[in-house]
Amino acid sequence: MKGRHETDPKPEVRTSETDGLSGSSGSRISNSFRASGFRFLASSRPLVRALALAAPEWRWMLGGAVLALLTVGVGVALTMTSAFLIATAALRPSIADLRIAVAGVRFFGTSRGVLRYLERLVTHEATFRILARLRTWFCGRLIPLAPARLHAERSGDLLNRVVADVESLEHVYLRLLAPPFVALSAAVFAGAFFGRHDPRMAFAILTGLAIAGAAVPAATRALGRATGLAILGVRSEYQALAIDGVQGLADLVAFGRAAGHRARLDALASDWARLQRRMSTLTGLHEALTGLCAGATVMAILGLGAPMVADGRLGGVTLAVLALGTLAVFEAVAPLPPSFQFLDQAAGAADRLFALADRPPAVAPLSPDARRAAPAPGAIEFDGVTFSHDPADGPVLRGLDLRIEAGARVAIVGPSGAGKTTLSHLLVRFLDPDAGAVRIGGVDLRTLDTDALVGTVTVAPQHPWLCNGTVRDQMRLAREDAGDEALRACARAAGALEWIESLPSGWDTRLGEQGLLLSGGQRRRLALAQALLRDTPVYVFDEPTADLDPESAGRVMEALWSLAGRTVLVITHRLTGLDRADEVAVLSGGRIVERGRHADLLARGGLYRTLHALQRQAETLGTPEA
Amino acid sequence: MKFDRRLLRWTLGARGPLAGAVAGGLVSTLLAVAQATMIARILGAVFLRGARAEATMGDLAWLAAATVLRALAGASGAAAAARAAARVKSSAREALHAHLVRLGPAGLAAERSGELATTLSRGVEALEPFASQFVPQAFLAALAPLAVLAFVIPKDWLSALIFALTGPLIPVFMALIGIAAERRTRTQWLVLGVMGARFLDTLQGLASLRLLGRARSQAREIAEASEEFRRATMSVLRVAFLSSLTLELLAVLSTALVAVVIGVRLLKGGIDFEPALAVLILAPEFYGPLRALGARFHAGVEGAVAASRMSEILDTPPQVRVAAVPAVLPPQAAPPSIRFDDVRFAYDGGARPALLGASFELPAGRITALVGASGSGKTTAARLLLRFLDPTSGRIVADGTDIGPLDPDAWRDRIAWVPQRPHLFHGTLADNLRMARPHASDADLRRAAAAAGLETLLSRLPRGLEAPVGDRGQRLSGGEAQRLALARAFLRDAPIVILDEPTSYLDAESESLVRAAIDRLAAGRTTLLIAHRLNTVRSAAQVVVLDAGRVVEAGPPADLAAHGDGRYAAMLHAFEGATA
Repeated sequence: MKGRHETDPKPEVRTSETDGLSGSSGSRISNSFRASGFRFLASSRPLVRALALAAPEWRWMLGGAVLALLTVGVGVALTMTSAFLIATAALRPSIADLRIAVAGVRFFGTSRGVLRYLERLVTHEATFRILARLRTWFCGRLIPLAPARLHAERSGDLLNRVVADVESLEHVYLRLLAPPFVALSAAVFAGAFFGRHDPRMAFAILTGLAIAGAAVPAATRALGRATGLAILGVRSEYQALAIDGVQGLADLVAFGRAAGHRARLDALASDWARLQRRMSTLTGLHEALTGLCAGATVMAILGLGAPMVADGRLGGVTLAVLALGTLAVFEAVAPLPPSFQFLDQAAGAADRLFALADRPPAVAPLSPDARRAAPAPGAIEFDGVTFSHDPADGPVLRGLDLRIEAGARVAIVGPSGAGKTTLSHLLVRFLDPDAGAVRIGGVDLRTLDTDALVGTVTVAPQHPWLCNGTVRDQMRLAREDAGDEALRACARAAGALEWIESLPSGWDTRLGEQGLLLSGGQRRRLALAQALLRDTPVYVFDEPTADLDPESAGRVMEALWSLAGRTVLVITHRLTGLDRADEVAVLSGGRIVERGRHADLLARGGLYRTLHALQRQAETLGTPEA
Repeated sequence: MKFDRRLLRWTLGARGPLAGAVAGGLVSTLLAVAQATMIARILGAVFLRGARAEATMGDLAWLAAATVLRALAGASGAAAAARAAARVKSSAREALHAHLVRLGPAGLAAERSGELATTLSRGVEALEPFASQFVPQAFLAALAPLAVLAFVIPKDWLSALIFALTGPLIPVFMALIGIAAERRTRTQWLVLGVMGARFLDTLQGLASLRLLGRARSQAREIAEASEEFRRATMSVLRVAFLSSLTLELLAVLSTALVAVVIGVRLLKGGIDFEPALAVLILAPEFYGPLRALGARFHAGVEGAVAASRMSEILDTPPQVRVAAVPAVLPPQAAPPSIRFDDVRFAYDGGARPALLGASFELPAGRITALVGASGSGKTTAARLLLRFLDPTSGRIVADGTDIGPLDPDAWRDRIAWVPQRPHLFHGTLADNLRMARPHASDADLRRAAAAAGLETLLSRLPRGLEAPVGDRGQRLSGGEAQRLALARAFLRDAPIVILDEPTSYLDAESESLVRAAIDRLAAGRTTLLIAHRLNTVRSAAQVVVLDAGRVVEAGPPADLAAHGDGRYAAMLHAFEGATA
């Protein structure tokens, strides 16, 4: 568990949160915060946690922010020096008096570009580093949740969102931390500089900056929030409708609904465009207001400065420098509006991510003194196992008893939804029984974790996953050091060798995005070959013949039963090739209702015989694509 | 960057608002000139002539007016740009929607469907910055500097000369170094996208990886790959950012040069303070639009790329000929008999033949089973009957009427289609059923669901017919989806049924439910069945055996089975052997 502590910043964050609202009156303060409209503070906890995850990169973040500040500062200095140069020159001094100003203009002009360059490099470095950290952290947090806590109905959706959310959090620093830092620091410097000449000028510029940098963005954000939400809604509806329109086009055309669907798409698209237009108009208005603020501030400086120059309290050159400097300082608040707009998105992303990462795993963590080693091979026992995925749906397994001797070859059959896959998940501790116990070689699995168990048990899952690499990479996920001969042998046993070697690049063929280029049958065979490579004492095959035509199915079953000296468990709803099993167990209603050899069960005339007869009727004639 | 002709047309369609956006930007530049003049006058009056504050009030008022007007011009320009973008995107979307429907399901290669969905949503969105930023900025980059120059020339020709000489360098440099660097940067962003996909891939495979004992090491690999990517990208960016450094230096140093030149000439009395200051204030207004174009160049490229992808889709020819004045389908109550008359069809404009002169008959009100290996033309025959495709030659005749000249939608009204696996639309179960008959009552839906053996599903879902299904709703099992397709066909209650039997292996109970429902559905309708099941074929009135696009055998199944050396008999034999 050492690794987990390293990657888990939760305890530290907790303390820092309580520090923020500390003391006995903490909750009252936080209530009054909420009441007084500082809802952001209350809802920003996940954001604070996200920032804490990025915190180890603080050197890069700070470096980037300081460089950004320097870039703005040098820009202001360039404008001010130029103004100084011209105003001084107008007084016709000797050329020597201008020399410093000329050098200043050159220096600031050059360094601004260089600083900007460095700033971009450092900022990107920081962003990539943060992204890597976030990805690794979330991946580590999701591992113990897979599959029981992740593979809900919409897991595809869920994981897609995780990826997108992590990518938006990557910008947390770039958009949420750095711009306010730059703007605030610039405001402090500007206030101090102007204040040296006249406190009223300091007040004017700080007010101008505050309005342009905070009030205007906050107001436009408030005004645009409803539109922003509506855009999100319309966009996701449009996307769903577009996917329906493309993937369901055959259904739509066949039923004469294509024109109607098109009209709905058109209508949604124009709604979407209308909302976006409103949003862009708001953004444009907002830019205009920022310009207005800058102009108004310059006017205030001129209005305040003119009488002072007339009175001799302020140098004429200084007024020119201050007036032009004002225009330049407003550059510091320009990146604030996007960061305001990003706030909601980032908070939402952080919220979703931590809600997921904080889900409790499906099985209890091991005690520190638990065994680490793989269990010795021995009989597998399900002892009065009761399990329900969701208490509302009732138990899937109800006091199931099943003992499988070491080296036995057993088929577990039953209709879909009978809990067959749950059995395989119990064997590798993806799940723990609600009651009863699962043992291998007499050892209760609750004293082991998945990493230890998979050293003994290989589960070939019902829905095989393909990596984003080559066929060889996929196989070697099972055994890193496997030689080509071993790969070939396993592929041959799974009936995959022929097509693998017929592929254009053979073993080096890439599996494409999630291996979608393979047919169901090819996928299945590759996954079986991979499982065979693992060479463990216990094998569990979950629906090994799904997607295979009858002939291939027969051959694959033959190969599975021939695994010598292993305990082989085949979980299937397809009653093909079961005559070679030592025993067939029929699962129904959460219990084993029949056990025996294939021929005996057929002769007995129970549920097995009924299932067999139904399937016999339904066997196929043609050859599905394999 | 090559402009697609359609993009040009869509952009021209929004020329009104685009002109507004450019005008807004231009007026804003002119007002900036006014602002600069006023600021210079006020400072000059106060500083050099020692004017009293009251004397500057008039100029201050003008400055205020220019500032407010500039904000207004900017805002209305932005609003016009937003209008333009909305219009361009709507044109693109409407063209794509219309073409999608014209193309029909057979015109859409399966591998392209994901790409098309992405183009509809994200591709079209790439036109937003193109229309609202790049296009107006391209005009402004040409016009606004000229406006500034027109003002500067009479004030100070030497500064104007510096502007005129350095200004064009910005686009030239952009073209020389910026674009090459941009291309490299983009490649790197693509790699970033791949990294994202890989991350997703790992997350999806977590359960499998845990089973292989590889989850932790895969997580480490993500970290290593990210690290490697960071190093590679940063080395690209170190070079790529040099180009913007060059551009920035060019603009800033030009401004600095103007400042120094003006300063020196002021000193020697070659220019007055006020125009000098005005020119200095205006320098960013001169270089600004040129640099902004550089920043928006990306949007331009992206828009053009997205548009060329849309054009590829829009250039795909539709598969079905729709007659300008479609023939009228005779009214009909009884199921028709249908004849395929020497029908030929080839995909990819003739490159991939699928049917090579197939002739067979579907007897009225009976089941005709099409059998044959995959690629023998079964699916093509069904698509032709549905008019997803039209034959290259030959005819399909229903009760003596050639279906070719008919309006495809009117013809399809007679057909109930049962695909292997129906698409589940985003909506409720009821919505998905009503596809087949929009005005069906809930009672009708329930009856159809019952006939298709869907009651168990209805009772399983807490909200019954109103349960959300599809992308973000309830997942249905293979058997349930098939029964949903059957329920639609029952609702449709059409004289012709086209049924693509499932090839996937359902569990035995689902299998028998589907089986029974198919029998009920086909009763008394002219049914074309793409058959994979022995049972269905045995109960068909007629079997047509296809091989490589030709009919090799046809007749009642019992006759064919008795015909010992026939193809059907051989298939039967193989099957009996495999399951014995």
